[in-house]
Amino acid sequence: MSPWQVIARREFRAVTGGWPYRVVTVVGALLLAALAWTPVLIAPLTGPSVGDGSPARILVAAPWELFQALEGQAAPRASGAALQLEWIGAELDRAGQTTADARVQDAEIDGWLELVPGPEGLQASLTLATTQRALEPLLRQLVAPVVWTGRARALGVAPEVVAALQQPVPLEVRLLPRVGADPVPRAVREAVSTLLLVGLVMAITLYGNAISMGIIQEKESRVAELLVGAVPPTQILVGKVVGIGGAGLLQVLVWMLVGFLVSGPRLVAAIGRWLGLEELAFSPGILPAPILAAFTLFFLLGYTLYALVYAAFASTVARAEEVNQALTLPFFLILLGFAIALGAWVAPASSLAVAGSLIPCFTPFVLFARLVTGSVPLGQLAAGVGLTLVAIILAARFAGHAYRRNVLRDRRVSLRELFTGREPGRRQNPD
Amino acid sequence: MLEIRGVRKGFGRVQAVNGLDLTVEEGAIFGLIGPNGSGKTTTMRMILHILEPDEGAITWQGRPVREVATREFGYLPEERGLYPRMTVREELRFFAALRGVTGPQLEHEMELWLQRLMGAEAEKMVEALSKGNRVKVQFLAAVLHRPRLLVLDEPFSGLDPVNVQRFKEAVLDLWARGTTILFSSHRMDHVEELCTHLGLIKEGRLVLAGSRDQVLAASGRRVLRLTLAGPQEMEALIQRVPALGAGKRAGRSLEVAVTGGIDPQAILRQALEVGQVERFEVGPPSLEELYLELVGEGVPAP
Repeated sequence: MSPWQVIARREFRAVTGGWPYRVVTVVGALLLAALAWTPVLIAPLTGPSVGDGSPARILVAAPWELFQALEGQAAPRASGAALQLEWIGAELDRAGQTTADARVQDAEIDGWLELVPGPEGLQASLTLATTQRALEPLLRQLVAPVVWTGRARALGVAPEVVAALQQPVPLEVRLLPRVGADPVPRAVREAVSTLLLVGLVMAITLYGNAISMGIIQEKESRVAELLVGAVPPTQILVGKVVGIGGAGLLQVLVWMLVGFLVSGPRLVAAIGRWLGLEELAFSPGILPAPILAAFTLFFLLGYTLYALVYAAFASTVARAEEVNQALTLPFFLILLGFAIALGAWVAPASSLAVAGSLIPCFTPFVLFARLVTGSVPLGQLAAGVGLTLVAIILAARFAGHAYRRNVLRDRRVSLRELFTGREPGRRQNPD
Repeated sequence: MLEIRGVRKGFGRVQAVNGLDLTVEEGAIFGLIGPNGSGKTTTMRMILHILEPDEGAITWQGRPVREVATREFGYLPEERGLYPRMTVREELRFFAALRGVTGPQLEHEMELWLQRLMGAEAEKMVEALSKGNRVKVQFLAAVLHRPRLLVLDEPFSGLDPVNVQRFKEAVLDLWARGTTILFSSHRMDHVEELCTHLGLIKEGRLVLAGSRDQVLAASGRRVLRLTLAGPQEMEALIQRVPALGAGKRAGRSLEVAVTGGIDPQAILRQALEVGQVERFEVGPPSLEELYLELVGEGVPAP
C-alpha cells in the first residue's frame, strides 16, 4: 500500500467513524426522500381546503328538514373536517343576503348556500369566496341528492329506489403526471434543483473545510513534522484529498441512491400502497437519474479542485483561529460560482453562463445548473470538464509546493509569498 | 556515510545554515551540539529532506537524501505531536505503514518495544498518555521500520531520569544493531556519555567536529580532578599547594587546569600525605566546559 493510500485510509476512517457523519448521511437521505415526494406532500396545501387546516364554514338557508338531509350527505363525503355547515334559517331576505355576502368578503365565512322550495322543485344558489372556488364540486355533490329526492317525491318514486340509484359508481381511477403541463410539479422540480445546487455548494465547502481543518490541526499538534519526515508532502496531500473526498463521495452516493430509488415509479407506488396512500402511486419524477449523476460528477470535480486550493491556503496559517481569514479568497470564488450558476438558471445559454461553464473554479456549479435547467452542447460540457481536470492537476502541483513550504512554519504566510514562493526580505544570493 | 557539503538554508533575512560541511560515519553516534538558533534543527530537517537546501548537497552513501530519507531514515522531532484519538498500536501501525512496513514482523517488533518501554500504557489512547509516554510512542514510530539512520532532535527533553536512562539504553541497543544515530541535545553530559563523534554548530557553521576524544582533546588543555576523604583534608592540601586555590572547589572535590605551576604527580604525593585519595584524574576538560568556552567566547571557524 502506498503512503498516500495509508493516509487516505486513515482520513476516511477518521471522517466516517464519527457520529456527525452518520447523522448527516441519514438526515440528508431522509431530506432527499422527502424532496422526491414534495408534490404529493404539498398537494394538501394547494388543494381545496383552507390553508390553516380548519374546515370551510358554509352558511345554509333552507327548510330545516332539507338542511338535515344536506348534513346527512355531507358527513360521509367531507369527513366532517373539511366542511362545516351552519343552518341560519329557512330563507334569507335581501338584507340577510347582503349581510352574508359581507361576511364572506370579510373572511368570516367561506360561503353561503340557499335552498328554496318552489313550484318547479328546489331552487339552489351558492355563493363562495374566490379562494374557495374548489369547494363548488363538493357542494354540488351534496346538493344534488337532496334535490333528486325532492323531485322523486314529487314524481311519486319510492325513497328506496332513489337511494339505490344514488349508490356510488365503482370506478378505478389512475392519475398520470403530465410533465411540464402542471405548474406545481414544475415549480417544485425547479425548487428541488435549486436545493441540489445549494447542496452541491455546501458539500464542496464543507469537505474543503474538512481538509483545511485537518491541515491546521496537524500543524498545531506538530504531527505534521512526523508526517513530512515519513512521506513526501505531495503524497500526504493526495492521501488527505482522496480519503476525505472518499468519505464525501460515499455520503453523496448514499443520497443519490436514495433519491434515485424514491423517484422510481414502481417503488413509489409500492410504498404508497403499503402506506395506504394511493396519492403516492405515481412518480413525481423530480429527481431524474441524469441529474443525480451530474450532481455526483460535479461534486467530485468541485471538491477535488477546491480541496487542493483550500489545502494550499490553509497551510499558510499557524493557528485555527486564522483559517477563516486565509480561506476568504477560495470561498469568495465558490460564492461567485454560485451566483453565476443562479444566473445560468434564468438564462442557461447566456454568454455569462457559457463563460462560467469554461472557467474551472465556476464550472462545477454553472454546468450543473445548466444541465438541470436544460441541455448543454456536448462540446461545452466536454470543454468545461476537461479544463477543470487540467486545473485540478495544476492545483495539485501548486498545493503540493505550498504545503511543503509552509507546513512547518509558525508564522502567517502572505498571499504574495504563497503564490510566488519568495519569502519577505530574502536575499537571492546569500553569502 | 552521511555527507553534508556546502549547505546553506535561509528563511527571509535569517541565514539559518551558512555553508555547512559535515560528515557522519556509518555506525557512529553523532552528537550535534550548538546554542539555540545555531541551525541544528534546520540541518536535521534538511537531512530528512523535510526542507530543501538553498545551496549544497546532502547524500547518504552517495545517494541524494531525497531518494532515501523516507524509507531509510527515522526521525524524532523536537516538537512532539501525535494523533490523539488513536490507540498506541494504531498510531504505530499507521506510521510504520507509511514506510511500507506491515504484517507479522512489524507486530512482533512492536510488541517487543512496547513491552520494553510502555508496559500497560500500550493499551491506552494516545490522548490519555503522559508527555513522557508520548515521547516514547514517537520514538517507537521512528524506529519500527528499522531505519539505517536515526535522527533524534532533543530526545531527552521532558523525560524523567528513569526514562532518560531507558531511552539511552534503547539508543545504545539500536546502535549495537548497526543503526547510525544523529542526535542533538543541550545536555552535554548526555552527549559526552553517548556519542562516539560530535560536531559543534554556531551561527549555521561547523565550529568543531571529530571523534569525542579528538574534540575533547582539541583544546590542548588538561584538567586535574581530585576528590579527598573530606573538606578538611582538601583545605589542608590547598594550604600545602597554594596554586590549587585557583581551581573550582566543591566540598571535598577540586578541579583545576594543569598549567606550568601545577605538577599532578607532586600534588598526588601531597594528597596521599594529607589523607585518603578517593579520585585522582588528569584528562581533557569536560564537554560542557569546552562548549561554554567555544560558544561563550566566539571561536572562529577552523
